[in-house]
This record gives sequence, structure tokens and C-alpha cells, in this order.
Amino acid sequence: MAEYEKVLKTAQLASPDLFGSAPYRWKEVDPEVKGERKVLFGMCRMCMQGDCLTLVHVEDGVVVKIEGHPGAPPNYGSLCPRGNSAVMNLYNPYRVKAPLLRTNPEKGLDVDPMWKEISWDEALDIVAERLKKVREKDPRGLVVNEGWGQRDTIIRVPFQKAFGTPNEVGSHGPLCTVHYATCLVHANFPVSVVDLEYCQYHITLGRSLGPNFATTGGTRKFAKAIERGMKLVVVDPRCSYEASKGEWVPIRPGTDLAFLLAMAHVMFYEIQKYDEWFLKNRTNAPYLIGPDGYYCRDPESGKPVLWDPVEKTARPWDARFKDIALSGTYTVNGVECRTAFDVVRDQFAPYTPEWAERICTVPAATIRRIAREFVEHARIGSTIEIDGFTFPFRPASLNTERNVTNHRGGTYADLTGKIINMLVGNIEVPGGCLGCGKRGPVLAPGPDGTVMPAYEAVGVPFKFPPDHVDMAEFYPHRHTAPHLTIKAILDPEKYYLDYRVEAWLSVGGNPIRANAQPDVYVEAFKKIPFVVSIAYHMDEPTYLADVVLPEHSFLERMRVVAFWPQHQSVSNETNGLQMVSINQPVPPVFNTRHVDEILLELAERIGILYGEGGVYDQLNRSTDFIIGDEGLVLREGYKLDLNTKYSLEEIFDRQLKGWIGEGKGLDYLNKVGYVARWNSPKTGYNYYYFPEDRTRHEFYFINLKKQGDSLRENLRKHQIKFPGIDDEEYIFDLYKPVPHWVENSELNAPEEFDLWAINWKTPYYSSDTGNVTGNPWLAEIYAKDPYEAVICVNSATAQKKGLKDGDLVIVESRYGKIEGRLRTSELFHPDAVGVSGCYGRGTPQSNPLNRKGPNFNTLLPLDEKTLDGVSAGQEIAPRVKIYRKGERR
Amino acid sequence: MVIDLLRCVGCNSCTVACRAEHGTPANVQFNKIKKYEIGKYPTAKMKFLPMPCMHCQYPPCLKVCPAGATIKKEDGIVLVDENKCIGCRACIVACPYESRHFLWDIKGYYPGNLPTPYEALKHKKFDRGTVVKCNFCAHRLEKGRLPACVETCPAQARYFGDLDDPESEVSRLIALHRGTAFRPELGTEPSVFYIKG
Amino acid sequence: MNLIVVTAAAILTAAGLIAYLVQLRSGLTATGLHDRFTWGLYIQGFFFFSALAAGMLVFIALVTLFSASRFWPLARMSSAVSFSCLIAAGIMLWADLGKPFRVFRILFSNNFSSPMTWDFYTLLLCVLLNLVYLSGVVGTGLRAAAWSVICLAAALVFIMVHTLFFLSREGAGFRSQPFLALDTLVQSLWGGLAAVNLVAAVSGLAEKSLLAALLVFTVAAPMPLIGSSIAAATGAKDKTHQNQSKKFILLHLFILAVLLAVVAERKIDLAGSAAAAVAVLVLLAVFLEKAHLVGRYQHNPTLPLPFSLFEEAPAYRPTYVEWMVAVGSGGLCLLLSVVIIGILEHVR
Repeated sequence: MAEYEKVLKTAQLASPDLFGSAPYRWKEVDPEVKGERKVLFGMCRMCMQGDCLTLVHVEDGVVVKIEGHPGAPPNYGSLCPRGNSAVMNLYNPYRVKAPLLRTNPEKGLDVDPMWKEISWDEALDIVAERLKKVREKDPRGLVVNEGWGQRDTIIRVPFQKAFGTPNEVGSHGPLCTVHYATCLVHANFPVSVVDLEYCQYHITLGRSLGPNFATTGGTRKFAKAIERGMKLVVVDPRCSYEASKGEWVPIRPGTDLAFLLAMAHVMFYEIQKYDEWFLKNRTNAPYLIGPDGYYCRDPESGKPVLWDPVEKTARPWDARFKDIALSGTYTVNGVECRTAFDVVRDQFAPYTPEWAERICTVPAATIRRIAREFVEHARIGSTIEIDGFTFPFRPASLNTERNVTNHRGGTYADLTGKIINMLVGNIEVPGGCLGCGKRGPVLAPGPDGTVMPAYEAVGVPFKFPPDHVDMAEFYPHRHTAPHLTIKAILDPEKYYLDYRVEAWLSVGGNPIRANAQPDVYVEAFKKIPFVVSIAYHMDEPTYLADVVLPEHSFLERMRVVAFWPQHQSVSNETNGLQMVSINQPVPPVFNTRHVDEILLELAERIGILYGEGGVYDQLNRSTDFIIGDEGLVLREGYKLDLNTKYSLEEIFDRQLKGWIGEGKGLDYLNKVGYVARWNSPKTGYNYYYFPEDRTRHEFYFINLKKQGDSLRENLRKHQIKFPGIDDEEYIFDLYKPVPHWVENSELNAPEEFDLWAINWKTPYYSSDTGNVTGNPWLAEIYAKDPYEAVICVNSATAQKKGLKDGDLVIVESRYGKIEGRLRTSELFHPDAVGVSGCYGRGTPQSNPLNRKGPNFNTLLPLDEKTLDGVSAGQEIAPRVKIYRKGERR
Repeated sequence: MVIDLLRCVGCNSCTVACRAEHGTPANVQFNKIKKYEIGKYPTAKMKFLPMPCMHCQYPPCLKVCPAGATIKKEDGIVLVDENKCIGCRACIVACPYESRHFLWDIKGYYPGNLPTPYEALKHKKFDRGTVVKCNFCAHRLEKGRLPACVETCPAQARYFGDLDDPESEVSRLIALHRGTAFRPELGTEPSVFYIKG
Repeated sequence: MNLIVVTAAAILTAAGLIAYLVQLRSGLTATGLHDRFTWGLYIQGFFFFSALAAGMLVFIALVTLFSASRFWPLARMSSAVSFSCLIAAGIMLWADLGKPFRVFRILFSNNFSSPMTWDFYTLLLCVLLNLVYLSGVVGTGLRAAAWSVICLAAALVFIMVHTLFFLSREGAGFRSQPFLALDTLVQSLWGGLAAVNLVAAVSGLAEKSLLAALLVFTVAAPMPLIGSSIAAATGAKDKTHQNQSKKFILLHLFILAVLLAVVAERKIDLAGSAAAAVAVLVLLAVFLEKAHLVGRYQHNPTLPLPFSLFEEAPAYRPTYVEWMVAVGSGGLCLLLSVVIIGILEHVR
């Protein structure tokens, strides 16, 4: 409480009124709505997922309560702490309340922009005129920066495409590059998750099932699974909320790859009990691999071949086999080939649990036990019938995410997880490891018989000089890369750019707070000639903008969306659910506009709204990123006429009519709030669409090798290097078809940096959506929470260093340093320094709460050498030292 | 009320939902979650103890109230009548669960700012100088709804019902899992039971 | 002399009144109190003044009951002071209320399980008994005996009620039961007697027997503390309590030594400043005792460890407003005492 009082006292110093010292005077209640009581259908947007259905109670034009929509999926009336605090997101005096124009040419996080309030017409004209000039010079000169701050736009992507720039940069991505392996093996996006409906043994690493950051769906499913007795193993440097409900296996930060390699080693060499049927019939493990590391192919058809041990001959993958050899060396067409399984297995020979223990500190016996329990619980060979369809039943799953993948070698770690899962045959079957995105025929085999890589595993085609400012040509499987973007902006020659970034459009992105080394970002922002921010509040990119276009808060925003399967886990709570729902807007509090109305207005003024290739045309052609045509797309009969102006409502209406059918559109949805269709739960498992041997997952990651080889060839051809990398083998070492041990940038840091910093999402900060750190309801709680906005260290470690609970300490990495209050705790690995959420930074004109607490991201590196060369993911467990403030070290 | 400590993940949804339901002024929190650790590394665990008002059968707060402002309704809910409270705070001293709050001032959540329209509306029912507390959302119960903290819980860790009815879900849960009250030695006989601690 | 005292007291009273008006406007945020330390200087002052008033009433009742006519002039003056102390106590209590104008709800809500109700009733009764006494209708004989017995009972109940305010709390350490009642009683009698001594010293009615009586209670005063300290030390985890009780025991021993010196020294004029100084010292000790008692009960969170592991109770510092109201009450007490004694003398 005392802490919060302190925060509040400082808070009083800042004024939310951007033009004076008087507090903002809220609008009087409109006499017309006095006495009016109504309930609107809402959809929450206090986290990136934003799919909880709500009811918004309005009295006298004032929102008085937001609650979960009772009985409606996916949250069934529940809400998380952020969702419950949404009223404060609407009534927030720190929001941007009118369009603003910068009058002070000098930019900086401490420099007053000297805003001048301007009209919407002026603002839109100024922006349109500048962007038009940029477009005439080179459309690639515009960077559209998206982020968790704005996930409700349907026009941003069409706008960017119509403008003609490839430079859509997500600010949040590089600290969460969790996608590649799932895109490759499951052809799904964003990640793969556990089936909590049936799973009996779940190993989770570097991720959350929901409770750690309090997502309603994840938490509901988690609680049920724990209650029915699912065994949960949490491998994590921190005993999280979830770990406290299961077995906590403390691990040294950033060394999950060693743990996974050893676990696979135990399965390959000690347990040796595999789902052989699965490996032979549903993976490329039996494919024969030539000495060059590529598939051995049938000379006639060009198809990869497998060995039939009964007939003693090699045949194309789609031939009829009496049996398939999983192991062995065979001579095909005079070339000695080995099965992919053997090649993979050999690679794992050195990674004994004893070897891993020295790196990751998890006892060898524990690794062995977990591997054994995992295989035992997988019930290899068992089946389950769901709604008349027989599935293999594998109630065990291992899942990895950001704290595993965001190191050099992180992609390997994720892929090793896939190998572990494939060894027990649990991919896309009940109880096992499922892609969490689209449900449907996504596992369709390609010409080689294996699942076609999708989403980020497809790879961006090479081009030189590069089109993409985020260096997608050099990191073709990158997730998003603002870190490379700003480096290219600051030094375009080094990054081979043949054009310059002339304008930056922020649409919900805040890479300054949500990425590493904020100061470097600020320098890049200063260099960009024209920055526009479509802003909710005065965050860092907005403070550095030339023009600010204030947007509605989520409650004021008309939003119509199709349901995406959930990120954290799968269960019958949402399995088979297809749904569209609406957020009915509440009356706007300030002079703000809907983000899509702003973009449509801009498009019209720039001249890219109408006609072929315009925003409408792009919208006609666009499909849902996750669920494709099952999303809200403009179906035949509802396409937009390219030369007629439409309101946003009209566009939604057309999308809905195509989805719901029977001519039911926006009016209908306004009456019912949501339309849910329940398919059989069996359709929730993608195995259903390609059962038995009708498709194969990559076990030997040939597509990774292919991409690496082609990249190497292209660099040779143009005689160039990876920008910022001297020895290109340092990157190509990550493009091998079989994961192997690589050291990340932090493992061999100088001795004085004796600890590793770690970070996690919290119930009060899951992502920078709706400025949750500036929400005073949440602040009141996180200020009292023992582990929030403090620096957590294991008690024994603190004692060794002579530090006490409550000390003011400095945490210093080789890249930056932060200070904060020390919290000693038994819940942390002795090598870990824990800093939660994303506190700190902020601007003089944002809620002062934003400036409180240590900013973890300051500790992170931007250097290319620290990245995972495949996903371009940043290192998120930097080596640090910790000392009491005032003590020089 | 029954709270399942195995299901509870300490997210504080209940705390914020309670605030949203009642519009309590800054620093007044009817519901709270105590987080604490047990054990030593590497077998330590984080534990959570969600605490609404215990609505004791023998409430110490009722006992000490000199103004007759604290009442226990027939259904067992312990309430403060804000029109009778004299603000002596004897109840706060007496309550062993930290369940009561005195309205030192009616403050908004944005310091240095005028109260938001939401706060202006909600704060009308709060009277400076009186004591306030959780009322199990009596106004919702009247309409047949459950308390806000019960409905919002993403882990579905809270159950609400009639403890006097042996057939009710809460009574069965208490019997099945041998539910216990918090600090039973005080003899207050709380109406909030914890299971699976 | 009297004029100076009256003026000074009036000024203090006025200052207290202004401070209270400030508090009335801004509410109890004018104090340093908060939910975790909800009773502060006002309640400490209330306990202090109540203790003195009740202690003096016991003295008055005893000298009336035993027809110790030698002490009657002193008893009459003490009654005036006791009355004033009760008024001051009432004001302190009133100042502490969030809704002061609802105070008489206590009279009519009839919740007799509440210590506060008993407190209020007995306080009013003590005020009434003082008034009866001051009006001179008590006289002698059966009437006096009856008044004395009622007065004794009222004063003792008043004292005892104050032990009911706090539940037995682990966190209160040596302040926990079972010695609290004894402590409250002894402190009250000790303080009351000190006040009587002070009145005697100031008005020239001092005599050795009074000091001797004070000496007896000075010996008695640390006993409950020693007892509770031993009780708390047995198996207690938190040793800070013991250090705290040590401080108080030392303070009492110091007063005892001073008192012994004063009593033993023949040359000292008993009506002089030395006796008054000792009396003031005792009053100070009683106040510290009351302040500490109230403080200790709120120092640790009510929820036991580990539930409050990471929540230290924030400190309490009385604000200027609180000090001014408290000092103002003292001023009023003084003012009333002087004025009533003046009236009594005038009437005679």
C-alpha cells in the first residue's frame, strides 16, 4: 500500500491536460440520454487475444460495468483482471483527445513536442500530403508499424498493400519468435499447444498455459485439467503460478536446448520405445537421405524414396509398401543412403543427461525420469473414438515457447521439442500436441509427401538489394524485425538499402518500450523525416511523432470479428467452435476516431482507396491470416465495388452476410451479439482431415536445410554478407536439417556477469494492449504484488551477495542496466534475476504509472550476433550482474 | 461461499471485478488475494489465499459496533448500514481478516484529476467517514445473479450457495473435501470455506 | 497567575477548535491514520484522559466513603479536574469519529456487546457523578456512601471496558492478554493518583501520605508489564517485543527511583515543584503506556504470517491537525479545571 501511495504521489506531479496545468474536465452527461439504461454486446481487448465476450452496461451515457457475457463462449461469463478493469481504459485522462501537430522540431523522450491542437481535416490533409510524396518517390519508404496496441483494424494491411510498401513491421515480434517449428511441422500458426481435454502428462517450457498471464480460456481449461489430475511438469527458472500447481523443474535460464537434446537422447538411446507406426507412416523419418543431406529420389518420378525391407527395394513414398524400414543404410542407385531416422538419431548421441546437467543444472536423473514418464503416459498404440471417428490417443505433450526459442539456437530447441513429440506420435491427435490455429485440411502433403510449410516457414524470397527494411531477405523466416528495421534506418548502406525510410506510421506498435535498448530506437525515430501515430495514449512513438491521430479506445470501437482458436491450449470448451461476434461501440469520450475510419480517410486523400490495387480491391482479395476463408472475408456476391465509397459498417455488413448467410448481416449481429456454430469436436484435430498415412510431418527438417543452402547461394551470387555478421557460418550453423547443440551469445559471457535475467508475462501485463501499466486499477494490485515491478532473486543467491530484501539494486547486462527494489524469494533458480512484465520508460505526457518499475527490455541486446539466425529472434535471457545501488562494481 | 485453492491461480480477477461492480474509491478493496511462498528452493511453491469478507456467523465486527450499523441478515450476510455508521472504526480493529475499510476520503483513481464520469456516478453511494465492506453482492443476489467475484473467476474457483442446505453444491463440496475456514480457532465461524488447500 | 493559565489554556483550546474545523472539512484524511493503523493519537489521548479521570474518581470515592474529611477540599478540586478530563476524553473520542454528528446513535442502538457502548455509557455516568459531587449534594452519611459505591463501580467499569477493545492478538506480543486488564487498572489508578498529587502540589494541599500512595502504585505499575513480558517471551519468535517491554519497565523503575528520592528527602517542600514534577513524570509515563498499547495492537498486520509476508504495515505519524486537536483538548481540560475550581472557590 505504501508503495502505491508513493506512486500516486509522484503521479500528481504530471498533468494529463496536454496544454496546461488544469485537470481535464469531463463532458457533462448528455441530457438526452439521462435516465437511459442499456446493455451493449462487447468484446474485450485488454490483451492480444481479445476474444472474450462481454456485456457493457451503460447508464446515463456512462459505462458503469463490463462483465463477461454469461454462458457465451469462449469465456463463459468470466473475465481476467485486465478485462475487468476496462472501464479505466475508456475513462482515461491520459488519452490523446484531439489531433495534434508537433511544433517543436527537436525530438526526444524528454523534449516537449509543443503540440498544437488541429482539426481532423487539417491533420488528415497534412498526413495524406506527406505520404503521397513518399509514395511518389518510393512507396517502400513508408514503414507501417503494427503492434499489440491495435489489433482491431481490418484496413491496415489493405492500406499498406495499396500503398505499395512491403514494410509492415510488428513491434512485438522479435521477443517472441515462437512460430517457425509449428509452421513447418504442423503447417499452423501461431504456435502448437497441448490438448487439455485429454492430456495426462504435460511438459511445458518457457511458456504459459494461461494462468501465468490470466487469460480466461487458458485458465479455465488449465483449472479443469489440474482438477482431473493431469500431471504437469513446468521446466522454468521461476516457480510460476502454473509451476506451483504441478512439478517445478528449475532450469538455468536460456539453456532449454540442452535439456531438450538430452531428453531426446534418453528417448533415442535409453528408452527406445517409439510410436513406430507413426514414424514410418506419418513422418519423413524413413525417407532415405543421401550423402549430400537431401532426399534420395526415384530417378523416374523424382519422388523421395523409402526402403521396403520385405521386398528389399527402394520405392517412391506414395508406392504400396509391405513394410517400411525406419533404420538402416541402403544402397540406392549406387549411392549409399541412410534413413532420416538414423541420421537424426546419430546427431543426438553426444547429448547425455550428464552432459546437459552441466549446462542446464537439471539433474540427469530428473531428465531421465521425465523422459520415461513422458513415454509411459503417451500410451503408444492406444486409440480413442470421438464422435464415431477413431484417433490415435496420445495423452502426453511437450510444448515450448518464447523463453525457449528466444536465444541463438532457439529454433533448434523448438524443433527438438517436435522430435520428442513425434517419437511418441502425438502430433495433431487427441491428448497431444496441436497447432492452435486453423482447423481443417492444413496438413495436405506436398509433392514430397510431407506437410507443406506454411506461414513463416514458407520463407521470404531472396532479392538484392533488399526490398524489406526489416532484412527479411537475410532472415527469410523472421517473425517481425523492428530491431533490424531501426538498424537499417540508422545505417542504410550497411544494410544494402537502395531507398530510404521517409515516413513511419504507428498503428498500435511501440517498439521503444517493447523491444531492446530504447535509446537506439529513439535515435532511429529522430532520423525518420515524418512520423505519424494513430494513438490511444501518449506512448513513446506518439511522443516522437510529427502528427498524432487520436483513435477510439476499444470500447468505443465498432468491431466485428471471427473467432480464432485459442493460443494457450485446446479443449472442448472451444473445440469445433466457429463464431462471429461484435463489439458495439459506446459513445466516444473524446474527439477521436475509429482507426479504420482514419485509414480509409487517409487512403482516399492519398488516392489509393478506389480502383484496382486500391484499399477496396485489397480488401476484396484479403483472407483471414489465421483461419483463411473461414474468417470474415468478403465472399462472392458481397465484394466491394471498387469505385463506390463504403462506410465501415457497410463493409462489416457485407463480411457478415457472407459468413452468416440468409442475408443476415450487421443488423442481425447487433441483435444477437454473437453467432456460434458448433462442429463436432473431432474436427478440432487436424488428424481428422488427413488420417492414417495420408500425410507426413517433417522429422528430418529438410526445408530448413534447403532455405539455408539457397540463402548461401544467394549471398555468394551477390558477394555479400549478413549485415553485422563476420562469420556467416555462425548463422548457417542454424540451418542444419537436424537440431544440434549451439551456444547462445550469453553462455560464455565474462565471469563478472554471473547471473541470467529472465522475464515473464503477468496477470497485469500480458502484452502492451490498452496501456495496462497505466491502468490504475491494475496498478493498485501490481503495486501490492510481491513479485511485480521488483527485481527477484533467489534468497540464497542474495545472501551470498550480501543483498537483503528491499534493497535498491542495479542489474547490469553487457547491453544496459536497470534499477529496482530487490525481492528475495525461494521461487527462483539461483542463477536467475527475475523482472516481470514490461514496466518503466513512459513519457512525460503518459500516465506517470508507466514510468514506474524496472524496464526489463533495457537489458537486452540488439546485436545480430545474439539473434537466433533463423527466426531473427532476440536473446531474452542476457547475462547480468547485480549489486546494491551506490556500490561501484 | 467455497473457494477451491487448487483451482485458484491468484490472478486477482475477483479483486478487479469486485471493484468494477462496486466502483469503490481508490485504496478500498473488498476482496484481496494474499500471495505467499511455502517451502525452500527447489521445492518451493507459490500459494494464494483469496479473501472476501468471511461473513462470519459470529462476526467480531457486529459485536463491537456501538452504533448498530453492522447487521447480519437472515441469510447470513453481514452488512454495514452507511446511514447509521458513526465511523468509530472499532470494527476494523476487531476484524481478524482485514475485511473492512474506512472511507478516509472518496478518491478517484487518477490523482490530480477530476473523477471520471464512471467514478462520479459510482462514488455517489459512498459516504466519507463511514466503514464499507463486501456484501456478497447482495444487490446481485436479489436479481438472482451470483456475486461478481464468483461469476468472473476464470479458474472457476469460487462456488456460492446456501450453507444451511445440506444438498447445496457448496455444502456437498465442503463435506466432500473437508472444507475448512480460515483461522477457525477464532471461533468466528466464517461462511467462506476453503477446499483443497 | 490564574489569568495567564486561563489565557494560555484558552488559546490552546481555540487552536484545537480550529484544527478540528479543518478536520471536519477535509475528513479524517487530515490525520495520519489509515486502514492498517486505524486508531491513533485521538484514541491514545482518549484512553489517557479516561484513565486519569477514572483514577481520580476512585480517589474521590474512597475519601468520601471513608469520610477522610482532611482530603475533601482536594477531592473537590480533583473532581473538577476529573470532570474536565472526561470532557477532554469525550472530545478526543468525538474527534476520532468519521461521522461525529451521529455520535448519539451509540446511546440508542443498545448494542451491549460493544465495548464502545459501555464506554460511552460509563463515561456519561462518570461525568454525571462528578457533577453530582461538585454540586455538593453528596454530603455525608448514607447518601455519600451510596454515591461512593456507585462512583467506584462506574469508574472501575469504565477502566475495565478499555481492556475489551482489543482482541487477543499474536502480533501484539507482550501487550497481549492476560495482563492487559491488570495493566489498565494499575495505570489508571497510578495516573489518577499522580493527577491528584499534581492538583495538591499546585494548590498547596500537598502532603506526604499522597506521595506515599503514589509510591505504592509506582511499585505496582511495572508488575503487569513484567508479567506480560515473561508470558510473551516464552517461546516467542519475535524478540522485539521483549526489548519494547524492557524500555517501559526501565521507565517505571526510573520514576520509582525519583519518587523514592523525593519522599526520602526531608528538606524538600512537598508542595513545591519537585512533587509536581514527579506527578507530571507519571502522567507522561501513563500517556506513553496508552500510546504504546494502542500502537502495538496495530503494529503488525492482523493476518498472521505467512499471509502478510510481503506487506509491512505502513508507519503512523500523527499530523499537525491531530497534535493540535490533542493539545487543544488538553488545553480545554486545563481551562475547565481552572474555571470550575475558581467557581467552586467563589461559591464557597
